[in-house]
Amino acid sequence: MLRFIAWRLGRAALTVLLVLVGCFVAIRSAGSPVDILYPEDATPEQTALLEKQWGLDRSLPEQFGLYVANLARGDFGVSIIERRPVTHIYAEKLQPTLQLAGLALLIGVCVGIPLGAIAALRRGRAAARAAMALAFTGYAVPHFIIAIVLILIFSYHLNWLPSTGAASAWHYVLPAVTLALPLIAAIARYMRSTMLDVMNQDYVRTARAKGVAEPRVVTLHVMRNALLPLITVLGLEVAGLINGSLIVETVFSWPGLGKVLTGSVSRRDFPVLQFGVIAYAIAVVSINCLVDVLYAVADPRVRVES
Amino acid sequence: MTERMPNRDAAVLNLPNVLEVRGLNVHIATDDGELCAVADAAFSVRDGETLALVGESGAGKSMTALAVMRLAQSAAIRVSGEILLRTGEGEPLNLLALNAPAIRAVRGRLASMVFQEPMTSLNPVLRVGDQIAEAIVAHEAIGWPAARARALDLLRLVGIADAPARSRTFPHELSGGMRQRVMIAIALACRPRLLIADEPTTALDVTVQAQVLALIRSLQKELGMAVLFITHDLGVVAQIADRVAVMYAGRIVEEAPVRDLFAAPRHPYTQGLLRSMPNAGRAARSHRIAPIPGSMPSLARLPLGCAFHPRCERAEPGRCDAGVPALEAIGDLRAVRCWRWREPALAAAENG
Repeated sequence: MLRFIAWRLGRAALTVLLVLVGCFVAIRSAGSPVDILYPEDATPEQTALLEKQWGLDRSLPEQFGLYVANLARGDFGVSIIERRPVTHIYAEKLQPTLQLAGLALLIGVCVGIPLGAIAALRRGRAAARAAMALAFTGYAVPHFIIAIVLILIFSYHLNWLPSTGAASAWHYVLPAVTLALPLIAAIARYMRSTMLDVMNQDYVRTARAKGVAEPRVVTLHVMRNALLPLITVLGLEVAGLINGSLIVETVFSWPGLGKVLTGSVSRRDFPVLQFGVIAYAIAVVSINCLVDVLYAVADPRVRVES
Repeated sequence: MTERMPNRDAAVLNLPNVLEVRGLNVHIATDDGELCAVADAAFSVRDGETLALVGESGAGKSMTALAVMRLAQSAAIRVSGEILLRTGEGEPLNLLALNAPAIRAVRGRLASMVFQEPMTSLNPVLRVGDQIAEAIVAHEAIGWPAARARALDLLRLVGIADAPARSRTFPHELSGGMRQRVMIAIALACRPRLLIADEPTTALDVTVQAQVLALIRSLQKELGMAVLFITHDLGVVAQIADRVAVMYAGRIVEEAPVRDLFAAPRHPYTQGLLRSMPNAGRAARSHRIAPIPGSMPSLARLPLGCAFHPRCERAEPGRCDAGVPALEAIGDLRAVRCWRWREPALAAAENG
């Protein structure tokens, strides 16, 4: 078990490192933050001074080495634009992002699982087929299109819900629903197919042969087993949710990490972007580790093997 | 095979039927039209008696068993006929006429079933003790702690040592034989009048197979239930059955007390089955295994007339390929479905 954990952690660290290198090289090849900070008529001496100040005049490997050395000391850098530690910036914006993503996840699970289960139990009927066709569409449409359509309908035409900011509970509705819709679609589709698979298992027939009442057969014997593979899918979907939240937060001007991160890209605020990428990579990797643990808790067969 | 040849025909006749099946038909809708998986099946199982339903795979044995338990029901499957289960007092229940709550109350309480595949028949995420207790809780006004305690007794009854520890294990921690014992414990949890065992030993090693057969036999004696035992293995039939019904292509072709069937099979198919059976006992060297030529026809393309006639060496053109013979009674205990069973050629084959 310890070796398994050590191996998982090592692989996770390598993933984060690779992501960091990719991001480091990509953003630096896109241009210098100095071009954005200074007006176009700044003298070469002025820009050179600033580049020296931020260490941007050094070679890429040198810069990277310095950055990693600082990371190891717990120094995550200072925002070039805002001139304050990146950790402070992220600490401020973490909560709204977690709230939004958490709400979307909750909606996705609470709607997607029953929807998929009902679609499986009523398979072949017109309503179930229509729901699944809709789910397929929901899965295929990108977040920003859903966001625009929802804003058009509920904010612009009906004027029921606000579309920017996080001032009240109502402000959560549109971004959370935008994030949740593809999640509902994915969960429902997967739940339906695993339910159909489990419904044909011998042990479900055994439960019926024992005289177990149908609601208990469906919940305890069918759904309980169908939920196991869903845990894995949920882990992958949460990674997708994190990606989606970047875009959705930008569309809805959500005061969260997404805005910080996209802002840092357009302003070439290297330290902010780099920290964001590391943080998101660590989040995705740890969710995947968590999924493995959850799976072991939920499935006795895995428990014994590990 | 000579281990047990019960001779209680007369006694058995007087016992009441626990299960009586009349005119059972099972039709399955497929893309190529409707198949008849079970055609006009009629048989009965008496109290304390074991009826073996024998045949090749696809003969309709399992479908018959599932139909009796009303577990064969899906949109594609149509079951008709009469399945009467005597519950002790009053009129027998016609299982096919019961609504969903009523059939639920029968399953596991009056009639139980043990399946062929012990490896997949238990829920992988529930402890085996709870899976047994669930069968009790489903039918009796009893709490979970009391049901779990009874599950321990049942585990002991089916010969599992260290019941308290075993009851807390998950199915994957047990061997195939152990799991089948657990399945039997589940089936017996409410002391049913009828146990249906669908090839319960087919997936097991030979030694474990013998143990499970012995267990079913001793439990039957102890609890006095009727057993409908489904198998393709004539060796198993000889060990466990009182009477035998042989199925071929969806129809029962012969029915007889086990001793009579082995001594003097009437139907050419039964005769062929017995000839194709390895015999370790007498004259092992001179006895040659003679397989029946050909194979059982697909239900989608049944031949006209007797379904067995293309493989039957005594088939008579114009007769056997013209109409389906009726299941004709021979005395009180036997029946055969063959146009030519009275003819000397067949009678002679009995002794050959």
